[in-house]
Amino acid sequence: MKSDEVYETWKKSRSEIEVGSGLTDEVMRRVRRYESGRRRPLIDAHELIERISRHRPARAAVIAAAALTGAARIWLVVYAFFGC
Amino acid sequence: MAEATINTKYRRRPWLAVVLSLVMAGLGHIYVGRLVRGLLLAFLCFIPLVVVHVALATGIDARVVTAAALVGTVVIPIIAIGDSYRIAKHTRPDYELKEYNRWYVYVLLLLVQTGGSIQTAFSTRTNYIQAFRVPAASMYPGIIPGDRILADKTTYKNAAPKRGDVIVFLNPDDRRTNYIKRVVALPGDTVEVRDNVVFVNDKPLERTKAPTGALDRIRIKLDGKTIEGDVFEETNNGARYRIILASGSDAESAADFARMTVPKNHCFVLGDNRNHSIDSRSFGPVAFGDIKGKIKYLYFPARDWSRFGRIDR
Repeated sequence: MKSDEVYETWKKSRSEIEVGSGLTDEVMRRVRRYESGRRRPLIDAHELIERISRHRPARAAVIAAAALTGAARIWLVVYAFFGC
Repeated sequence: MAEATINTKYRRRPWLAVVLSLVMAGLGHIYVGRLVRGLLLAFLCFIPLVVVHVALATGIDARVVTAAALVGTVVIPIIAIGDSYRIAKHTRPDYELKEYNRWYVYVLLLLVQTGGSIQTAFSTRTNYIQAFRVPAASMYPGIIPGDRILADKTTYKNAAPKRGDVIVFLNPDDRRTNYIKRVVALPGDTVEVRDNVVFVNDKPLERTKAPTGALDRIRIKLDGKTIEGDVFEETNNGARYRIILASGSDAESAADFARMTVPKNHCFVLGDNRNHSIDSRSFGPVAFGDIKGKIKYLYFPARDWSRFGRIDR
């Protein structure tokens, strides 16, 4: 028997296996259970950015905080050099 | 008919590009997908330090150093902010996230760049250039209290000090503090002070009286009294600088110093404010090993910004 005949026979035998009628439902139920059990991140960055984008004061606050952080970084380096 | 929808979830926000650029030049560019430009901008801030090194080695004008420092700390971040904003505005709304558009990449870059900058600043301060703030008036009128100056620590690594150099060294009586004085005599030289005239190798240092009002712009007080006295322009080994012989109770005691020969690997130092200075006349010659560097730049004058720049030698 040639190898492709062996394969065809095996394929046929597998295709004749009876699948239970509720299999699809069962698979989907398990997928949903897995999804709902997955840990969600505390902060969704994209959602947060979206929210800040919609509020001008929030945007201004974030920009001000960034400016302060940048200034603090520069001050740190300047202080490390001059130190007096 | 079904309409094609585009995914705008990851579209680049101009305000967020500005935020990231404000935190660190270059981060905004990485956010909008310009990795190479972002990295270049992030590390361009090291340019001022390179320029300072070159300036001290070659004697470039202090204004060039200041301009480079301003470019590094002010101009580059402003360019980065504007450019990242412009790019973000023109980025397609269906921007596809790049491999490096991850929060931890931004944090890592921020840490590497900040850490690198601080490390470079410390290393520069330890090995090449150190800044000092002057608390005393012993180098008046050249340097006054409150002046901030830069010392080049490389000058004496392969060369001995020269007469007329202004040096910073460890105070021999209290090694936790530093003194700034002028080198007057070198190893093997004889030095003597007679009636306020300094003799090096038995020859008086040439000096001419400065015009009245030479100090009008930088009058300072000592113990509540304005320092008054005669100002001279003194010359030593080609170096020309101003000294003051202040009048007052200390004047007599400082006017004379017995003749001595400067020992090997030592130098004799004096303050330019001859009658209000603790110098080699009191603690003796200074060992070359105690010298930290040569004072080269006055980068923040306490008064009168026309003095900004190089120190008289």
